[in-house]
Amino acid sequence: MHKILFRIHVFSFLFFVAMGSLVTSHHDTKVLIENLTKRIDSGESTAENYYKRAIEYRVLGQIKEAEKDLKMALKRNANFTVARREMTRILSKKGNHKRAILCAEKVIINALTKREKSSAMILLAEVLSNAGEPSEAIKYSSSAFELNPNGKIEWYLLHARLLREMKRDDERPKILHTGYQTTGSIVLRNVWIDSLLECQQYETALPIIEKELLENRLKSSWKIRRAKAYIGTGKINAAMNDLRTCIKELNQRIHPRNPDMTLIADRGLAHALLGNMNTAKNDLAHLVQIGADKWVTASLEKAINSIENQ
Amino acid sequence: MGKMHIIIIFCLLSICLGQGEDRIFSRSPYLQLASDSSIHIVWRTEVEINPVIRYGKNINTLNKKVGSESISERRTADESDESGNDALSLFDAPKGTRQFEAKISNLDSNSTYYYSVFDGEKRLTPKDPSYHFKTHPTPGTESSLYFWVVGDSGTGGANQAKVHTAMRKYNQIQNLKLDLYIHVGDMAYNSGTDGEFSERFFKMYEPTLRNTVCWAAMGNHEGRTSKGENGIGPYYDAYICPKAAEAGGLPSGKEAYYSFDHGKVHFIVLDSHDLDRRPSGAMAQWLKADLEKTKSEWLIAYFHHPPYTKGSHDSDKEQQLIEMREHIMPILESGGVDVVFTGHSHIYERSMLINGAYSTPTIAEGVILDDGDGNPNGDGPYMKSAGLLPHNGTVQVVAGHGGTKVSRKGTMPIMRSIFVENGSVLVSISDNVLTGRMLNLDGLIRDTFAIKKEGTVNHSPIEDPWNPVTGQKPIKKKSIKGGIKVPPVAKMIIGKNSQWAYFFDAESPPEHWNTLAFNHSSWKKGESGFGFGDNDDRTVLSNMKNKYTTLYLRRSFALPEGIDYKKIGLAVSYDDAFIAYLNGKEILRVGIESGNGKRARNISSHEAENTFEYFPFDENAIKALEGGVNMLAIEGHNHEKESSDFTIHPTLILKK
Repeated sequence: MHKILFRIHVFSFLFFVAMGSLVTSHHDTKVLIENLTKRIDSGESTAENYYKRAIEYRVLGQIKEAEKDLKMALKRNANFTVARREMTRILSKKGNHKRAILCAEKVIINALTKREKSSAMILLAEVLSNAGEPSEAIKYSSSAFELNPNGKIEWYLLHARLLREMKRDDERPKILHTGYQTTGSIVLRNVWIDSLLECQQYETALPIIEKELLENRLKSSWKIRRAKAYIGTGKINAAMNDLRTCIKELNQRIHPRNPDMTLIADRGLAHALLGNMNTAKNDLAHLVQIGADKWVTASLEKAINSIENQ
Repeated sequence: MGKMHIIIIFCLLSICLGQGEDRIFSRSPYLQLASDSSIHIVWRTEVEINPVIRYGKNINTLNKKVGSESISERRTADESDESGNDALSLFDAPKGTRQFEAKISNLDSNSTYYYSVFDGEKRLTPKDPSYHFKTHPTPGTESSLYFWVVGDSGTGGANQAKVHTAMRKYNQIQNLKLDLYIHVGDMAYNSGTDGEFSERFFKMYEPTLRNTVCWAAMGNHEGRTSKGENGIGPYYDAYICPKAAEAGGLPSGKEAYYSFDHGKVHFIVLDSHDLDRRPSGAMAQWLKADLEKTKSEWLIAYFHHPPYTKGSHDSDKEQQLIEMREHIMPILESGGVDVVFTGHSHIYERSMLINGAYSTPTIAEGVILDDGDGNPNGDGPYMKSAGLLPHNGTVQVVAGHGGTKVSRKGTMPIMRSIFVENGSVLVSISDNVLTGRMLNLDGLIRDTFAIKKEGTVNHSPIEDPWNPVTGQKPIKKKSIKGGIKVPPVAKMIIGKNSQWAYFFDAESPPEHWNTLAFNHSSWKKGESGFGFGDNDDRTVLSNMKNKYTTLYLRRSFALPEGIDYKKIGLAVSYDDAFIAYLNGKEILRVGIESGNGKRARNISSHEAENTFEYFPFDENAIKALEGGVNMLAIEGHNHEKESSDFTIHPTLILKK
């Protein structure tokens, strides 16, 4: 069964690729769109051509046109999964959550293999998360892991984020550690350490942090982690020292006019932990002003609130 | 049987055997994933073999062996085992294909080994010194490095072959040997299928790939069949990329993005095509962690989509390119990156030394740290501090000219060197100097730049850097606040209410708009003055308010014979500010502190009040005058879009 499905997929994929190849001998995005438009206007208004043009429109940031073309592609082939996935993402990004959820549900229905189904469930979980429904989202991300225990890095990150939104922080270390062991990703390892600190499991986290501080060239993110552990274990002076040297390093790395926003978030966090609440708030305001993601601002916001409430 | 017969039979046998050796490989042996102690050799056949690799430091004594038990074999999906393991199935290889991947471990660092592929005891590759590999030096140790950079090559056509041949010939003449080969994507047009990879990449580069590892970044064309998220597709079948830090750096957990070390050089490879490019994405988080860790002395990053280009693509307009600039470049530069290689745009573009150029559109003012040509035999190399310091300057190289048709949309203002021709880039790093050379398909070096790291270098951003459109540094005109009372007039050279060609747009005007050669036939025509509000304008720009702030005017004129040039000057009624150009050269700047067009900064407010102010020509303006026809061009600026009025009414006078 697996082999037959694989053949069908490879065949349909190659057919689609071949169709694409016919119309993509030029590499300029605008020329590609013009060529595809000519083909569509001269009667080759296939789902594949509309999909190809939607992707090129998306490259140019012309999302309205992309959405129109995806609609046309799906009208011609309702089982066109790649197009439906793309449509789901566009709708979700636009904030049209109801339609995005419906669209993602159809992707699940059309999935043939376990792998496709689990991937589609993660898509729906992302859409539900964007729609502010973490409790529903987490059901789907859990189901995805049940179907495919060897999940991807992004799946673990999403699931861990949803656990946080559900205030189930104590479950985060386990899933993140599993993710790290399964994928080997250093990102999961680092987020796992952060989750250990949040759950006050300092004994597990500290030896790893100490090792990283010895080995790393840039130490600010690890100094923040160690400061958190020191604060948790009552070594306040040591924590303050770490935070001060961390801010010094960050100030050298932050470009005055065009900063890396994750570094501003780190600096804000260091200031908050030091008790410099106004400076921390300034960094948070700066992040909001330059359009930082909620993901970037969340931990800073949380730190400021929790320290102020103490 | 005579001697001649024996010789003929021997020759025929040799030919037959030789052909047999060639035919057995559907992909000839090539190198992958090298470190200071290991390397991979990969090849394909369409028949069953008993795969063996023999290797050694002496070509005559291949005294070490990797047997079939240590060589992984992958087959097409319908022939692989029932488990359907993606790692073992080839995506769309021809039926019957066997791909062998041999990992050779426990090697000495920085050492050359010769190898041969065997089927049991039968030798399949000839005894040829070109079948060799060299392990990397131990990370952190001193060692020179020489590598080849190619992008957008995979047509399988004549130009791709010429670019490859030019590199091989150049190296032969210079007695140079590549340590590695980096490909910035689009190596197998049109869709990166297995067949396209075989024909347009492996066959094309076969003599290089058998002894040089190609470390690849995925392009959009490979992205049509291969997916970064799951690491499945012909691209991922072709390459073995480190996802567990096998060659240095930090484990990414994905083959789509990774890093590796070569001596004191750290390479970072990103997937700019189909993964989340935001700072919150897993790739950016990995990048940040990887940069924090590395203690190398040189840092080179590469990926497909260029943050800065005006070749066949425009980085001011395309989403992936904008995101790489706005999201990824701040992380790379705060981590101390030295050079960024990209492709996608079919052109060669090489920047000045830049830092912090993340805005859209890209502007050069305030982001160039050194606007020289970077050539050791020209303005000198770009200087940087020793080691890796944040924001100490980056050189951007777009090398999307590896074989496909090249083209150009415009000029990216941060670029120092632009060539619309096929070629590749050769880079050497020795001691504290990195040197890059663009070698074109005819074997000519067209551009050379160098970065030298020494001591501590503190750069200040240049506000008026060298301009790639004019090919010179702008003559810095000081902005003045206003003119003087108009003197008695002997002759109006361009009078009041004259006809001008005019252009307005929220975007910048076309390049060279202020030169005599520019054709303004598509521009509108109208009588001066131009503007809205205050009822003092002959050509009313009713749509200007809230839409745009700048109006561009052109008018040609001839000078009366025998006049005293010192008596010429502009008399202008204006609200709020303007810049005047004579034959493409800036001659006057009023109320605009810096920049021009869309990049004009600090524009003062000024009321026209139906009066004209006089600005006599200075020495520079007189020098810009030509005999015969001249072109006067004016850009008029409004203080802000919401302003209630605007006026620009230029005249050119000869005073008594």
